[in-house]
Amino acid sequence: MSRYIMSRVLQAVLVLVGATFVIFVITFALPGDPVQALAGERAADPAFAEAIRARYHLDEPLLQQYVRFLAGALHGDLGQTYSGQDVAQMLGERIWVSAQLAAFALAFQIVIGVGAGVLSALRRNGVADTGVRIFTLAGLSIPFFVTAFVLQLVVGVKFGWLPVAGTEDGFLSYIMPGFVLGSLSTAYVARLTRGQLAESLREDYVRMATAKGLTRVRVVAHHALRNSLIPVVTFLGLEVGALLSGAVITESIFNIPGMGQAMARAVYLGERTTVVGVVTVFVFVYVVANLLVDLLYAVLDPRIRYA
Amino acid sequence: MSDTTRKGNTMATEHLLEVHDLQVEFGGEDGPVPVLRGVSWHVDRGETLAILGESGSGKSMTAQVIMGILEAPPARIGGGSVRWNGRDLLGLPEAARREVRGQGIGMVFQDSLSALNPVLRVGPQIGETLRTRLGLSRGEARDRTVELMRQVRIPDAEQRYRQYPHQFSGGMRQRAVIAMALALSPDVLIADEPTTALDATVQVQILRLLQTLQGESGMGLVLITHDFGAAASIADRVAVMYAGRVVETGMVRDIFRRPAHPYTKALLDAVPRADRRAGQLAALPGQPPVLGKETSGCPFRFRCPLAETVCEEREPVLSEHAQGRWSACHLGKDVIAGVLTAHS
Ligand SMILES: Nc1ncnc2c1ncn2[C@@H]1O[C@H](COP(=O)(O)OP(=O)(O)OP(=O)(O)O)[C@@H](O)[C@H]1O
Ligand code: SF4
Ligand SMILES: [Mg+2]
Repeated sequence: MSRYIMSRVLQAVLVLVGATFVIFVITFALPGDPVQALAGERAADPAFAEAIRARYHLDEPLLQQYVRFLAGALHGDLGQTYSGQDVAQMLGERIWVSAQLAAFALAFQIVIGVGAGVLSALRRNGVADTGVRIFTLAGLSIPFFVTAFVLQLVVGVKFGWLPVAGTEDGFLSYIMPGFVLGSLSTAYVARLTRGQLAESLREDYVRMATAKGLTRVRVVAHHALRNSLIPVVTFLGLEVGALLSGAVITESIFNIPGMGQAMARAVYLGERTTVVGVVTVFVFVYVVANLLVDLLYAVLDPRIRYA
Repeated sequence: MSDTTRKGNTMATEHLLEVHDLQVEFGGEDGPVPVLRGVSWHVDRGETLAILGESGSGKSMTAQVIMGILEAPPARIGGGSVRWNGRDLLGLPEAARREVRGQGIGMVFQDSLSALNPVLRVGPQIGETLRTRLGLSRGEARDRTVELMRQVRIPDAEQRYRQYPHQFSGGMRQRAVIAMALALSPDVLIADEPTTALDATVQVQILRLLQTLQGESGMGLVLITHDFGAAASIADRVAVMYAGRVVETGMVRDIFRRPAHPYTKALLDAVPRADRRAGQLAALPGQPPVLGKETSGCPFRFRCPLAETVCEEREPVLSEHAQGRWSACHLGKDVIAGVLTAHS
């Protein structure tokens, strides 16, 4: 077991280093001169340009810059924006905003997705099942920015039940964007759960559980659901990564000051340090989530634990 | 069990478990496909009934109907009754049927590997109903479970209690499944091919175990098997199934000496005499009939060496050809007498 954890952690570190390197290379190979971008319309003053280049080490070879970045990142230093703001500090504030949004989205996926999946697996071809099928089809086929605008218009503007955008209203502010961010995968989670549970219910050990005289609730909850949820948990873990990239759009639509919004702005302004910083955090979260899923998998399935 | 008791039981109106004229069909593309076409048999306390028949004859289906775990739809129970201690189970509401499961009738599934939940520890699985049904405390259930595990001869029961199914060998898993089925001390145990996936020595051990457990508790035992040898070694009576029906039933030694149905005879002939005990049913020439096609006449007639015109005209019903010798064959008497070829 501990060997399994060790090897998984090692893998995670390798992925982290490899992925940041690729991002680094890509961002720095992008066209456009940051010095020129800063100077705006005018031609940059050579002395100013020189100073900027030296300050951001732009003249160093790429590899050297990367090593510098890596060394900094290890100490929690992600560099500075061109306006002199500390990237790590800025992201440190934004990450909690994004985390709350992601938590809402995940909560929707678990409660609604798993709930609807279980319901429709237990009442196959019943009214609930048909309802869930239509709902998931809609969820899967309507682009989520459309859902976002419709909700903003109806729930936010017309009825005024929830804030349209921003985070001034705390908890309430996150409900609509959280739902939108989670909606696509909620539908998928519902389908996955339904399929897995329907399959489990046909397994011999589930029929045996019935045959030995357990109640239906006990059979489903204790015997069928547990196995069915293993792939769902895996999916949700990987989904954390997808939620981050989805946040880039959702946070922009709902004007939420999170990592995604910072990323969108940075790309627009050509703020390379910020882009690399955000992506590094994204990759880190993604890798850690994957690691946790693998460990959770081992907890849920003894066949892996003892392999 | 003595002959007099047996006669007593046949005369009694109530058997411990009795299946009568059970009919089950599946909704197929071109109309319903019958898989059980009037299955009848019974078993009494302390008695072992072996149900024999080739693959697809409806043995497991019958067991599923009795337990109430048939997936319906697609299956549909078309008629018949399942009586346990005189109560018709098919008419009972689900909650009442659940009471019967485990406590009245226990079942051991065909495949021991898939009958255990792979993500739960073996001990708690065996003892689960002790807690949910009998309301024992965790500690009490544990003690009782370890005792059950010892009873089915699982060595190191205390350590084994905490292990997972994949840490058990095939034979040990089957013992665990048997312990699970026996947790609530059922009146009847239905064991569906409990030895199929196991190697020969383990098969014998499991059969002996079932026999011993039955002797200790006096429960009725229904042993579903392909293995004539197994049936011969532990059963009192046999019911032979063919194409969704019981085609012969009677005392095991009568049937072994002189079968009353050509199908039974073919099965017996297919087992080499010398090691009949361990022998599996060898394949018979020809195929079992495709059910669902409009059947008239005897379903065995395409493979039967004795088939006559009458066999095409009418399907024979299970009837008594000699004292205690029941078979569904127009020529049952001839078969018992050993006439081996067609008259005409
Ligand atoms: N879901 C289903 N749909 C249609 N037919 C089915 C279905 N399940 C089982 N059957 C049919 O029911 C018949 C009886 O099956 P059953 O499992 O009872 O056979 P069995 O005697 O137990 O065979 P085996 O010795 O292989 O276990 C078979 O002919 C099978 O094809
Ligand atoms: S009824 Fe006819 S075909 Fe059927 S088993 Fe008897 S002899 Fe053979
Ligand atoms: Mg079977």
